[in-house]
Amino acid sequence: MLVRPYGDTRDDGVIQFSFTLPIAYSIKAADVGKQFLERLGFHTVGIAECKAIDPEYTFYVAYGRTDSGIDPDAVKGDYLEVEEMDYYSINALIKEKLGRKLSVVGAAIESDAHTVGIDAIMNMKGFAGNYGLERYPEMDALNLGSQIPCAQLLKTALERDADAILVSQIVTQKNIHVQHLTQLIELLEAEGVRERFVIVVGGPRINNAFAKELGYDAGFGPRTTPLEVAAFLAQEVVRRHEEA
Amino acid sequence: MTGGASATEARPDAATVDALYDIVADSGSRSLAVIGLVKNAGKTTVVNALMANCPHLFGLTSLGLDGERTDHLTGLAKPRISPPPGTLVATTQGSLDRSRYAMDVLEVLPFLTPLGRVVIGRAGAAGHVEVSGPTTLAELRATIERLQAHGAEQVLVDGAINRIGSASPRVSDGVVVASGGMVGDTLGDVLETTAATLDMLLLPAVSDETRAQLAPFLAQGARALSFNDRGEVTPLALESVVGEGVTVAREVERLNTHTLFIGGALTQEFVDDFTRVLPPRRELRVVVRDATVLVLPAASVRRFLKRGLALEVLAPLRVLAVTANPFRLPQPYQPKIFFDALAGAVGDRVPVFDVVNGRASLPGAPIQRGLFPTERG
Ligand code: B12
Repeated sequence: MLVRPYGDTRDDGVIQFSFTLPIAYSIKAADVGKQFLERLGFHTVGIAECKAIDPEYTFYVAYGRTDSGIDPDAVKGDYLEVEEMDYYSINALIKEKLGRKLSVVGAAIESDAHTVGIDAIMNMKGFAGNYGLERYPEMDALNLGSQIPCAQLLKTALERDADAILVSQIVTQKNIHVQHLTQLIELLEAEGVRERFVIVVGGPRINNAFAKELGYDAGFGPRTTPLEVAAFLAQEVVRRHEEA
Repeated sequence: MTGGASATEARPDAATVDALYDIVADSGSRSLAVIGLVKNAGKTTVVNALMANCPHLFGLTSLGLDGERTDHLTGLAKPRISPPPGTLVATTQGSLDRSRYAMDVLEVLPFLTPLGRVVIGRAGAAGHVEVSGPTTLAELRATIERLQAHGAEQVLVDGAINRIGSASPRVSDGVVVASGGMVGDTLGDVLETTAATLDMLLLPAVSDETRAQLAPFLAQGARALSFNDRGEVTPLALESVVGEGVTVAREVERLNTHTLFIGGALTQEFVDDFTRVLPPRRELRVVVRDATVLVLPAASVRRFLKRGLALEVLAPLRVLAVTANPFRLPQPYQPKIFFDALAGAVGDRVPVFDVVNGRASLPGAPIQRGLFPTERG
C-alpha cells in the first residue's frame, strides 16, 4: 500500500523543511525560497519563517505538499536478510552441523586505526546487549585489532585455517576504504585462496549491496549487532560445509 | 534530468562504437572484460554502447554491481542498463528484485552472492536491469562459460570499481580499460596513472624457452621457483611469498638466481622489502602468472622496472583499447582537451576511444592477431 507523509491529517503529503540559501535577506527572499521548493516538485508551499542569519544568508522554515508516495513492501533494502537465531541455537547449529569450532579472524585493515567497530562485533563483552563472537563456545575468534596490513590478515587466516575473515573500515575520507577493501580481495584472488573464506565487511558506510560490488560475501552497516553477524557466519559456513 | 556534470545518460556515437567493436571482433575475443581505473570511469557506458550499436547476441554480466539508479559511494546517477531483447544476462536474484526487471530465467547457478543466487536469463521486456554477477573470479569464469553455452556470441563483463581481476586470462580473453577524469586529482595524474597502468597490464610474456622450463613445475602448483645459470631449479620452501620479501631476496642471492617465478601475488610490501635487501644493480628476471596478480600501484611497478629488474608474465593480457571519459567532479574536462591529452599519453600502446563524444585515436601499427596464447582453467 502506498504511504505519504503525515502533516496535519493522514495522507496529506505535507513535509516540513528547514534550509539556508546563500542570499541576503530582502523582501524577495520568501519568494525565492517558495519557488525553490516548487522546483523540487512540492506544491501548496508555505514559508513559515524566513530570516537573515548572517548578512549574506537567509534561513527558512517552510511547508510543502507532495503527491508522491511509496509502498514500503515494494522497497528492497540494501541490508542483508539473515535468518534470526539466538546465541544458543547458533552454537548448537555449529556443533551439530560443522562438528568443530568455527574459526574467525577479524581486523580493521591498513591505515584504519578505529577498533571500536570490530571490537563491538568480536569482543567477549559484546555490544547492544549481546555477546561478541569471542564469547561463543563454538567459535574460535581472533581479533587482530586495527591497522593490520592485508597481507598480515591473509597470513593469519591461512595459518589458522579460518572459515571466515571479518574486515572493518571506518575511515572513508577520499574513499580510502574502497582502496583497502578491493586490495584485500585482489590479493586473495591473486594468491588463489579467495574461495577458502567467507569474507565479511562492516563499517558505517558499508551496506550489503555495496559489499557485493566490492567482492565480499556479506556487508554490515551501522548498528550491526554481534548476533546478526554470528547467525550469518554460522549459516553460511554450515551451508558451504554441506555443499562441499 | 539536470544538465551539466552527470556520469550518466550519455548517448554513444555510433561510428566510434563501431570502430571500437571492429577491434574487439578482429581480436577474436569472446569474453571481454571492461575494467575501470577508478569508480565512475565509464565502464558501463562502454558496455551499453557496444550492446546498443553492434548486431550481436551478447552475454552480459558484472563482477561488481551496475545499472542501479544511484551510486552508493558518490550518490551520482549511474548509467542504467537496458539490454537489447534477446541479450543473455547473468545477474543476481536480488538485483532482479531490486530493479523489478522481468526476465525469463533460463538457469540458476549455484553461486550465492550477498544479493542471492546468480541467475541467467534472456532480456525481453523493456526496462532497466541491475546487473551484478558472481562474487569470485572462479565463479565469473564459470558464469561466462554458461552464458556462452546459452548462445552468447560475445560476453561483456562489466568490472567492479577499480578491480583488475576480471582482466586475467584465467577469466576473460580481451580487455578494454576505461580511464577518465576521475582517475586523478589533476590531468597530469590521470595521464600518468593511465600510462603506468597500461604498462603494467601490457607486461611482456616470457620466452617460449622459459615457459617450457616452468611447465613441469607449474603442473605441481609451484609457489616460488629459482632458476640459475648452472641450470639448477630450486623451489623455495614457502607457501606464499606474501610478507617474505627479505627471505626471498636472501634466497635469490644464495642461489644465484637469474629468474624467479612467483606463483601468487606481488604486493607493495614484498617489493619494498625485496628491493631493499637485494644488492643494487643485481640483475634478475621475475616471472608472475599474469598482470592481475600485481596487487600494488602501477607507479611501484614502474619503479621496480626502473631499478633494472625485469618483470614478465606467463599469460599476457590482450588489452584492446582504452576509453576516455572526460567526466570528473565538480566540472568535467572539455572533451577534446581531455581526449587529446589522454591519447597523447597512451601513445601507440593501444587505440583510444571516446565513445560518447565521438573521438578515436588509432595508432599506426595494425592490431596484431594471434599473438597471444591464452591460458585457461
Ligand atoms: C572513537 C573515534 C576515534 C578514536 C578511535 C579509538 C579506537 N580505539 O577505535 C581515535 C581518537 C583514535 C580516532 C582517530 C581518528 N579518527 Co576517528 N572517530 C571516532 C568516533 C568518535 C567514534 C567511532 C566509534 O567508535 N563508533 C562506535 C562503533 C561501535 O561504531 P562503528 O565503528 O560504526 O561500528 C559499528 C558498525 O559500523 C559495524 N561494524 C564496524 N566494523 C565492522 C566490521 C564487521 C566485520 C562487521 C560485521 C560490522 C562492523 O558494527 C559496529 C557495531 O554496530 C567517530 C565519530 C562517530 N561518532 O562515529 C570518529 C570518526 C570515525 N573518526 C574520524 C577521523 C577522520 C579520524 C582520524 C583520521 C582523525 C585524524 N585526522 O587524525 C583518526 C584516524 C586515524 C586512522 N589512521 O584511522 C572520522 C571519519 C570521517 C570519515 N568519513 O572518514 C569520524 C567519523 C569523525 C568525523 N565526523 O570526522 N577516532
